[in-house]
Amino acid sequence: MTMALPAAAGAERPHHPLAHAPALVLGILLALLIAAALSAATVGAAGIPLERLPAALGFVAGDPATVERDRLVVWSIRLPRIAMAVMVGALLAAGGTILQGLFRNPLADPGLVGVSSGAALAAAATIVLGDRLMPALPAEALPVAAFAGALIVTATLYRIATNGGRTSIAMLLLGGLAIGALAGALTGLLVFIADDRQLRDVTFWTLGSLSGATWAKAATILPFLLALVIATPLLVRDLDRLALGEAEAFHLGTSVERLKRVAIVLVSAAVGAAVAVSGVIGFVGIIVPHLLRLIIGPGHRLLVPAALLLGPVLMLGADTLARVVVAPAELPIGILTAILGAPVFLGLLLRQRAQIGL
Amino acid sequence: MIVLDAEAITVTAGSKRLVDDVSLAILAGQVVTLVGPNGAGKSTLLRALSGEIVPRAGQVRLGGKEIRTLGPAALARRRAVMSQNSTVAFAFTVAEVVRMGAGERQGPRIEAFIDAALAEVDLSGFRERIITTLSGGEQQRAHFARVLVQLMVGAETEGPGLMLLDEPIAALDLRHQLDIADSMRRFATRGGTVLAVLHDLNIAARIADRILVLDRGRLIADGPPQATVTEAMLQAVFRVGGAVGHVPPPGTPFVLPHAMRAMV
Repeated sequence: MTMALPAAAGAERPHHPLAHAPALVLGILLALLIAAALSAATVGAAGIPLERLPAALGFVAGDPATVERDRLVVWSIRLPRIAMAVMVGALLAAGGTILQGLFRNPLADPGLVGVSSGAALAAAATIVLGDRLMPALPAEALPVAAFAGALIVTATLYRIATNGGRTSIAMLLLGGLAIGALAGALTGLLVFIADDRQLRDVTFWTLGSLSGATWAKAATILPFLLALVIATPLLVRDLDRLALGEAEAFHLGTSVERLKRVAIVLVSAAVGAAVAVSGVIGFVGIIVPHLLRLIIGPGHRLLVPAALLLGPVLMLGADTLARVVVAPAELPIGILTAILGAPVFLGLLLRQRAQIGL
Repeated sequence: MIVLDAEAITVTAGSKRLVDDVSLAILAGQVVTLVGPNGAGKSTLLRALSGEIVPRAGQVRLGGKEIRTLGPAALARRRAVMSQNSTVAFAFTVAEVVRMGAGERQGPRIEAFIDAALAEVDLSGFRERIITTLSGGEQQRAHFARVLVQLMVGAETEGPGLMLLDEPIAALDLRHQLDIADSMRRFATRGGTVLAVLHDLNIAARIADRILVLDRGRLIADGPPQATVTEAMLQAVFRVGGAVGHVPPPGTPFVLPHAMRAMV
């Protein structure tokens, strides 16, 4: 393996400046999240200045001239969308972080390696085929189906990319490409047999958007987020050990097969739930952990909780931008995350050029 | 006291017998080195003895207990393993990697263990360096320090443990080869047990109480250096002609090999 030579010892700057200040890191991220949520609540086609927000939320009595309309906008449009952006951002960022830990590589993004496509295919199939089997499909069916789709892809990908405890990044990316292409083709097939209403829904999955946000949708993915938050502490130490290799993790006391199963299920649940309500939104799972590793280092104990906070910030920021740049129309949020994320991915790819053998 | 014993273990890959009917017993306080040509099955044998792979046939016991009945966490308290070419994904610092040897334990006591282990491998100034920016030999020493910390922590509850090392000094310069070799000896002096795969027969002979010679999966010699490192063994196993001399006073053998082809 070739590698850049380290800088002369004397010229070294400190790595990961905030690695040893978890409270500060999480505090800053929480403040950012609150700021992002406030701007998302106030900015938009129907502008609600910050000073009218407390009344709109119902905390204080407001100006009768505007308060009715403001309350309607905030409670039935802005807040469900904020709630969903926060949850989807947290799910995608933490899902990406865990996927990268599992594959021991920062390039593994759920969107790029086909996990999101698998989830979208399963969700689309549920809409198109499920409608024929069952007249009124429960709302909970979608995240569950998307979870199953993501699970099949993640488990298959692990088998393809990992051999004897070592992950081949070339096999991961190329195998993911093939799986993503297959899932995309099958989704295309579904488009042919879908009726008009179903077609609108299926197209939505392939583009990715938060525009259909409702409280009901947000409620269906809440259990997935809670499961992720609860399971995270059980996983972080073992993901660190896995960075040394599967054999080393075992020697250090980790039940590696169990860890892999739990990680695959968690990633699939996170990505599946996110895709079920917002479609395929790429690169969030790669930008967030990458930025964080530069500042706080790769230790998963802090990285995963930080991703759970920074993911929502990125998602709220991108969604607010998507709503205002071409107002009153709206840009698909996936375009913005790709503009931010693709260069990050390319940068990481170039850095690993030697390792991939290109 | 027998720390590690194997009873007729066989490891196969397809129809190939990588380890073929090997039995051995290693006593507490011993330094045992495992030698043999490339592809003899040394790493595979070590992986079977560590519990990482389950042999096709036979049994491995650690401290008298069947190794398959001990979970990964219980194994980790009793033995530490250094694999060949460990690569670290992500930019962990040397201290973070070495700290992984301590499991969930943290605090000043663990930091003192880390400092002691890093001093032992001559990496005291490298605590906050990113491990992947170190040279191959420095990374190898950092992994050895991680093994030391794991054993220091394990010793608090289980007593002196077992070190299983796969070519721990392959990438090291001469001085650090001797440092690590001495460190293995010191560990054994304190009651620990060492089994190390080594390529350098001279270092193997210098530090070992016993040498195991593996050839094509079979254990063909097991004894003190004087009895195992012989010209007959060099010819039969390594296919080299040798001039085996002996260093006084204990008569540790040393090898000055030359290629067989040159002898014809």
